Amino acid sequence: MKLLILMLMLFSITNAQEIDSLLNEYETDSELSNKTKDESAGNLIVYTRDDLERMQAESLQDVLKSLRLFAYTENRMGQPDILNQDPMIYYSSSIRVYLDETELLTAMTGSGLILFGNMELDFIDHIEVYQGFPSFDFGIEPATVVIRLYSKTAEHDEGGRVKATLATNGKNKQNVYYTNIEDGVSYFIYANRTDDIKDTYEHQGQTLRRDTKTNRFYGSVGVENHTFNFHVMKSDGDAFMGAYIGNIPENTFKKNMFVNLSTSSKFMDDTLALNFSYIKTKNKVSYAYDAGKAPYFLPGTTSYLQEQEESSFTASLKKEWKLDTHTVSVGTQYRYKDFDMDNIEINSLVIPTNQAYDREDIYSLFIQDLISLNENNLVTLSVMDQEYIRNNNMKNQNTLQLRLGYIYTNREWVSKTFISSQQFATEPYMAMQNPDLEEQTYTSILQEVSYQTSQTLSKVILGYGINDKMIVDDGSGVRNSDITSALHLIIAEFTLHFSQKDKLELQANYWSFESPLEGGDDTEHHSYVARMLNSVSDFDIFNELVVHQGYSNTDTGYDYSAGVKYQVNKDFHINIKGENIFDTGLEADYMNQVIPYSSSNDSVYVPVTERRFTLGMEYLF
Amino acid sequence: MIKLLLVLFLVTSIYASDSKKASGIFNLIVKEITKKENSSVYLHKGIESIEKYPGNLKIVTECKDADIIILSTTRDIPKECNKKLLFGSRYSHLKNPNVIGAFFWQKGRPNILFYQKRLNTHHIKLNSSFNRYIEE
Repeated sequence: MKLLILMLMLFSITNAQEIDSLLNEYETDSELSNKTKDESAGNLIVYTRDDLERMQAESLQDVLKSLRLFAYTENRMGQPDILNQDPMIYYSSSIRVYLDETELLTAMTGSGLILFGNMELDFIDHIEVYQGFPSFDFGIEPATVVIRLYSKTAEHDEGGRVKATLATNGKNKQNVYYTNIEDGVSYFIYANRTDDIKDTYEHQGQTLRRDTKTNRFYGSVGVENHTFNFHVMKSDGDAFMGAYIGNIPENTFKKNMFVNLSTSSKFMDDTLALNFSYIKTKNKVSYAYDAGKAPYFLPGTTSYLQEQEESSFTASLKKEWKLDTHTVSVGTQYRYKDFDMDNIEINSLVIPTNQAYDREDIYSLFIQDLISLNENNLVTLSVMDQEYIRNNNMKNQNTLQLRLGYIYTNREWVSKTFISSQQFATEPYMAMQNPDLEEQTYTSILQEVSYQTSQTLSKVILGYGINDKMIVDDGSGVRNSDITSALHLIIAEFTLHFSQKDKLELQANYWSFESPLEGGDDTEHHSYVARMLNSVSDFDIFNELVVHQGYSNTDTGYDYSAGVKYQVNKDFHINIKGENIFDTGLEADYMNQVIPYSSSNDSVYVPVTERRFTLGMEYLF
Repeated sequence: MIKLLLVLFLVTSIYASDSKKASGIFNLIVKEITKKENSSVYLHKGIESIEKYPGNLKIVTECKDADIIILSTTRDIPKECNKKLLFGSRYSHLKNPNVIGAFFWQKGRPNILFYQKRLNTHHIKLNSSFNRYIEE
């Protein structure tokens, strides 16, 4: 009898392990990222649905702050800009952000990062980040980094969810989504409201604020191989220090409205892709200055108002052929952008401006060949060319990109080598300030080697690049630098899966960059990340330490964040998360006076991620 | 030798692996409900993973020949099917009180859920390994 009970118990345990383990394996294999990621497209980082859920990643900032090589920060106007803080130069224009098949674009800056770099992630399933001058088949224009966000789908999120969060500083967020498939038609609708309240900072007798309220609606409908998307975002809030140096505004305001309609279709067994996207954006910014405290370049100003309108239309067609050992892709793309930034009022008087041009047509063509030499070796060759045609006798530009990749893989080892030379056209935001700006050229070689076992993944990336004609702002205006700046980078990563639901990730990154300004300081930036994700019963536990050293010559930042998520039942989840818990995270250094440079006490040090504790609840229906 | 490059750069194998695992889970659940090694199943409006990889399940074309009905929708269920055991493939199928349980995706994770009362109605007792998937 005892033997029988023992056998029954053993059978029960085995069966339990079988069903639990099958479910876990099924979840891992079915991650949508497995179906969208492209290992040959660059140095890839994937944040799966499971990662984002367990990290309690509330916004894109939560992911970007630990992104290798870069540090998320914001410029003087409180706008996301990974590489830079000077709003006169938008360095992040080569960082392209996509939502599903649509590029989130602002016509003026060339990158949607400025509007979407801290977007909430409640409607996002997973994120892929391609670094190292990624593949050309992503989009019409070249990129140094491509961030691809994929929205949730009816297949994996059927039904609805309401979610609310409240943080210690008053930040609150509420959103709802509903998704379903009926008779072959899938749909997803999502609405969000975020009231992002941040600490205030006193400086030179003024109070600096950077609160933002954001409302968003996103909807998609899919029928067979066709998807239609509708995306509206409206935000308003403070513009922190404002764009202009010299004096701190007494009050600031900024407002953005973004509307996007897009379609994506696939034909011929998914080998032919056709995408259309239309974007309309309206931006408004205003500053009020105390009398006698005008910005350096606008003497006598007490009020400043600027309104901008931008629109763009993008059409892209891509065809892929599989010919023996070759996979050939050819894509042609067209984009027009128009922009109006003429409406400027100073002290309530309309200021006549002479906008250099207000329309740009971009024609782009790329050819890529993936050559499978044998089972273990792959070569990729890509060529892309753009023609930028501008109105009002503005100088046109032609840019060319070349990319050569070699990938070796066996059961444990993967080696990726990418050599690329890419020319970047001048985005309108910069060209308006100096119509004579020339194309920037980035040339790089990157080598990634990874070794995988059943429980570990180790990765090393080495890189070297030279940047020619970088756009710089030396105080006398923006111009192309005469200095060729060299970039070196070393990345080491180690991931240990010590059980199916527990993992430890370690990263150490180093990059150095020679200043493109004569006499400018070179940058040496070290960053380290330790992240642990654990699941115990119905609890998901998250711990993360992000260290930045040498970034923008600020003190070393130690940002420790942790969180716990509890599944009360299948329909109700609660979570608590602390960010920058010890208030020792990276701070950004904002200077008021740059010309003439006044003194070190002119700086305002502001945490990139403020200390905050957030309580969240979500209910599924 | 496994064509690792194809595994890396083509997604076909991933889809296949998905479907196989989904069908494996359906197989395990059906076996537990019917207590039969080779159950007959009727797939109402089709379940792709089982159709591709039936495993130990025998797919029948009429409800009357089935031990269990697996639903891809709760719409237009033939009358004769209602007399049989109904099992859902989506969370919303559980709104139908005749559906004893479901294997579905929710919040990006696959789930299994049975309601105890409905199991009792059909005198079904699941192995204790399924306890965490049973709600009152």
